[in-house]
Amino acid sequence: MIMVLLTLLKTKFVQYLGQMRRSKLSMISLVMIYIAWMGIISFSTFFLRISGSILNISLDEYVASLIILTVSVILAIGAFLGSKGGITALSYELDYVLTSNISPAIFLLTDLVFQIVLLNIFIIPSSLLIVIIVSYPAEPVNLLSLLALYEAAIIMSSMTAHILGISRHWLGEKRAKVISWAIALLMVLPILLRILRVPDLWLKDFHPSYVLGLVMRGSSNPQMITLLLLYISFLVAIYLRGMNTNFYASVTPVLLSALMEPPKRLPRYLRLPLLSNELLNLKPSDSPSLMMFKLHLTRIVRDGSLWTALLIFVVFTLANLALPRLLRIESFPEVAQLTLIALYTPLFPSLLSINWCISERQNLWIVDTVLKGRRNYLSGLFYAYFMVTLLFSSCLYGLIAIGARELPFIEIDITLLLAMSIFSVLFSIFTSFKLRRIPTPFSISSFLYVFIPMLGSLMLSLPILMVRLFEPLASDPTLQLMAILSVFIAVVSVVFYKVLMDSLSSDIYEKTGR
Amino acid sequence: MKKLLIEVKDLWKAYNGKSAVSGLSLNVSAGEIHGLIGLNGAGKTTTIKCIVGLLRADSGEIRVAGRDVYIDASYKSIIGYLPENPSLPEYLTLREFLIFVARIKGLSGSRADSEVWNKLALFELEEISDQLIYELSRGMKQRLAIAAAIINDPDILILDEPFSGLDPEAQRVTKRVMRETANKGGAVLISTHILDAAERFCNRATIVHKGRTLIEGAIDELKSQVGLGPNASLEEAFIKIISS
Repeated sequence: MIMVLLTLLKTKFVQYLGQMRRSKLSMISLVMIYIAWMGIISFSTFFLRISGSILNISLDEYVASLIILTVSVILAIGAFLGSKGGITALSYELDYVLTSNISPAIFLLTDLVFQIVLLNIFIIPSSLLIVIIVSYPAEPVNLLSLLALYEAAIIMSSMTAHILGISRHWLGEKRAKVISWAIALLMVLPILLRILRVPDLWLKDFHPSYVLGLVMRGSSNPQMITLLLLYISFLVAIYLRGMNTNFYASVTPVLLSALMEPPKRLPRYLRLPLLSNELLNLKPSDSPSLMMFKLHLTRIVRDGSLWTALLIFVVFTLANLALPRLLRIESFPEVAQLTLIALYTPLFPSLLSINWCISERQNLWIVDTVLKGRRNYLSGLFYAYFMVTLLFSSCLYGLIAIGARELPFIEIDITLLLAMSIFSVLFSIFTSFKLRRIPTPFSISSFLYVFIPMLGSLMLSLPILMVRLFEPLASDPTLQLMAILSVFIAVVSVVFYKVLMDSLSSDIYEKTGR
Repeated sequence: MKKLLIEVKDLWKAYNGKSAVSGLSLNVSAGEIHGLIGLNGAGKTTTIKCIVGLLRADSGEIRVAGRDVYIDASYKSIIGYLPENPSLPEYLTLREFLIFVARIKGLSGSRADSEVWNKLALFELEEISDQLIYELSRGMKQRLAIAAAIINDPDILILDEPFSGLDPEAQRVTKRVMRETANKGGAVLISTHILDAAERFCNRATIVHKGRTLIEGAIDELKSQVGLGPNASLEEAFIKIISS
């Protein structure tokens, strides 16, 4: 049994790393990116500390609340993965492992170890680093206890994901999804309450994050210990039952469906005449260019990637708005948040591009075997991405601007939003066509899909960002300055667009293999 | 002499240094249904991808309807192509997909509309025309992909393993379409390793092995060239050619 489990686990990691194993350089760059990620986290935390922006609050209390928030996020990840199927089955496993005589219990244990290892790599070092940097040289919490706490949260999170995945077999997909989202909401409740400035005292008596946090930090409260034991027993009992269930028929490949769903028709409430007939339905009377534009809109609406990207974008923006309250640092003015929204804008086309690589790249043969097909396809892609990126980021900007009431930088912020939208869409298209690897979650390629558009659009928007930093230019830009910035955006966009279209249209010979 | 519609001369293509096609040559004339026959990995699909412009050959010359495919891409408006494993946009309905292909292939709006209904009827897909492609079985997707390949009634059809996954009725329709294309002066190039089908259906064939052309000619000529009579099967001839 152990040998089977180890073989399955080894194959899973090998398969997951995929093209990373092709060369030493790929592996080294993966490690370098990981180190760079740690560096960014360390620097941000260090900056937060030396800027003295932590409010008048004891270090003990500050670290305790930081830990509760981290544990809440870890537990919520499990519920979110559960809503997507819970079990990280790769396609080869669906074809060969799930059709073999390997028992569901062994397969489940393999995946549990796989998920725990992955979550450890991405959560433990960064979470520990944050606490160490915030509190050094004081030691408000024993690091070994903290490690044990995070490990317990990760194990509980992965078990929850699995149980929710298997619950599809017991309850059906819809009910399992509803339960998953309810649990995810419950897990992030401490964060939401803090954002909304609602007292969370009543949560402390039962919420798993608080219970885990208190017990692991040495609380001898018998009520808390009993509650924690109850939670763990409940989880283990259901998990054991799940291990004895043949759930193979209900397994979906969660890794690839994290950002998208199987295509479906528009839900009834979205069947507005304008949206479904004019914007989405392809009609014979549409010109080829319009058809390409509609094709991409239809794709991102029907496979759900638009809604997922929008959800992530909204969560990031709201998290950014709530960050001062959440981390109890001095709040910076709402108007500064507006600029940050412009900086989050590249996330939108990046996420859409990740989905494009998974679901659409293999359909390129259809346009590549048609005269001028690739060029029309690319221009449709640009306009579709640009429209949704600008539309949704402008809506969020507008909502926050209404809340802010004072808008001293509105001209510059809108210019920045426009520039970031255009440049990030162009960089996203560039990345998705040039980087031919399928981005799996937490892989180097998925990182690059987000990193390249973000960095690229920031670099190209530097002149506008510079203006945004300096008063009185930022709050009272002259007409001349606005004209120069507008011309700059127009010229760079046109040149970049033309170079990109020419380059990608002539590069139709994909290395697709035999 | 009949007009050559597809000419491939001394084609070479390698993937990461590993040779897939090594000096392959092929000629398909007007009125011909030409089989590209070989074992798995013989280089059939690579050759076809080079012809339709999905891969750039390392060297060699490819002409379609007299036009060099690397200089003049206008030949794409007269070809219909079916890949070995067609990947389709699963988020579209059948009708939307055919409208999309018809329009990007240059058909006018009204002609696109009528051709879409014709092809849906030809492959008996009318009743499910508003279903998403995602909901179709593999065989149905293959029918749809063939319908898309012939949506503009192309002069040249290039089909990679066209009968894979097709039921007998759809095979019959596909064969009829291929015959009609050849009869009206066009050409059909199909790759297959199903020798029975090739023997019954193709006028001429090219046998390829390890990326090279071993022999090319009319089916009966192929048999006689290896010393077999007309009653021998193409399979016997093929085995003899490959093993020699």
